[in-house]
Amino acid sequence: MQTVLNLLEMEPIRFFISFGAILFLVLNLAAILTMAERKTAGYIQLRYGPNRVGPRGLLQPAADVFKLFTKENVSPGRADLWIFLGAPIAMFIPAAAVWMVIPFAPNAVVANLNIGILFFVAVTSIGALGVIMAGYGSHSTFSLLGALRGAAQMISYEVPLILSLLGVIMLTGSLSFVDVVNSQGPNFWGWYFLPQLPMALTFYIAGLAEVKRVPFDLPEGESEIVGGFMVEYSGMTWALIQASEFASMGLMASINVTLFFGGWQPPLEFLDLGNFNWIWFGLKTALIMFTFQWIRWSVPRLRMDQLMDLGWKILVPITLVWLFVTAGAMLVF
Amino acid sequence: MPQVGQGILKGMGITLKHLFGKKITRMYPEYKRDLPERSRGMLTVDMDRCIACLQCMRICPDHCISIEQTKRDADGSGKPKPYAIGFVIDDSRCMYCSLCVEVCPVNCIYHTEEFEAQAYNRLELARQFGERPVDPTIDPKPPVKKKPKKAAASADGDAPKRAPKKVPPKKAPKEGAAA
Repeated sequence: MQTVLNLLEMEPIRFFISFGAILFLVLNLAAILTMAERKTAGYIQLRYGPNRVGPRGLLQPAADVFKLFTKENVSPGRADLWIFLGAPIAMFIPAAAVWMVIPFAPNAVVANLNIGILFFVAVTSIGALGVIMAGYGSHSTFSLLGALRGAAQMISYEVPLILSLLGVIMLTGSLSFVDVVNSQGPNFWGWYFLPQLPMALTFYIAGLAEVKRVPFDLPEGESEIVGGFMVEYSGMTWALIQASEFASMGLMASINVTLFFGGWQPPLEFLDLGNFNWIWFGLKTALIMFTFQWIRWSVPRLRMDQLMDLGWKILVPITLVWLFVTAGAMLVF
Repeated sequence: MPQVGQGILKGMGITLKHLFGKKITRMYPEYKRDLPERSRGMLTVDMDRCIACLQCMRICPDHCISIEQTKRDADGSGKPKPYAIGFVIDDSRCMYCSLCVEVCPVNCIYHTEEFEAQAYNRLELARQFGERPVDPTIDPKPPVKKKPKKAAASADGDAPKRAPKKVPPKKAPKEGAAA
């Protein structure tokens, strides 16, 4: 038994196993989240949501995937095919790759990078490239409009997103996610959302904008520019875009949990589950993802100028002020 | 400043209340509500009462009813009367206008409460009622009234006007079946 486990620890095998595990997690998360999204939407609107396929409609994602696989993949006649077909991949890979650095349980992290937070910031901003590629390659007016909005939004919300991480980095003194989780301790009053409350809120809002969820879904803008950057996509390319959106939503929720809500740490010390602490991680992430969906079905979309106002005139000053407050507090105490 | 975000919180409270609230969905195939009075479902014919007057066929705007008519002594009175040996209602064309129901002199064609007309093939929607099936794909040409004859003659020219004059003696015996 020990030798088998040692074999799993060997480098190429470990790499392939963790690659498969991450891919499995991300794709299934996307499928489950589409289901959860539609169920939440239904329940909030006093409906039941999908309930025909399987018990209580639980096999709906499988039916959706089957349908999307059998659909034709239409591309516009004047589209730049390399860019058009490369865009979903360019969106999906960053959303899936960052899951590598997230600690799921005390010893369960694929790559304990000492620059994990920097890696997260760097790789998620590649997602904006995918949006621009999708809009530019489609050769469609609505797509280009959505892509321009997406570029403006995602680049300007990177700033408060990164600034809101600085407080945590200063308190921890490390860029590694594992160190951040370990320094938060197994009680909820030790987690960083209490001393860093404005930062946590800013990160939450900026993350919401970064994954293009509803109050900030201008790149998609269903009611005004039909589907924004993904207007021309169909079949599996569209499914890949959707999967990467849901994967990045799950990613943002899990980063939120890791940085501000203690990661896999139990809320109280006696609830420690040892290696099964991933249950705490999953519970907290699911709660954050539920709030994302809850906001989506409650709040109307912002205007473009309101979006920019919120980002540059409110979130950035808040993070800067709290950065100085944190620095001052660290100097004094 | 204190009212910033209050509207959002209020709205999110409402949605949270609805999330756990009682659902108002009626799940249709399991639960069917009562149809309103005089609702127009799929047509049906009581063939025992039908006198094959062909009025429904003539008035139908979509030509969805076709009747094959013969003479038959159905009631044993010794006198052959018109009898609908074939009767088809093509639901793929019917628009539920209810004109045939209004025009029927013996109230033998009427709406039922059935409304789920679906099939894999359009021809499956043609429902046969008579003893002999009628081809629903052939457009039933109801006998045209011959009033606007002069107007039609000036418009169409002489050729169509003369042709019927020669033909009628040959075709007259066959015109018993109007399908």
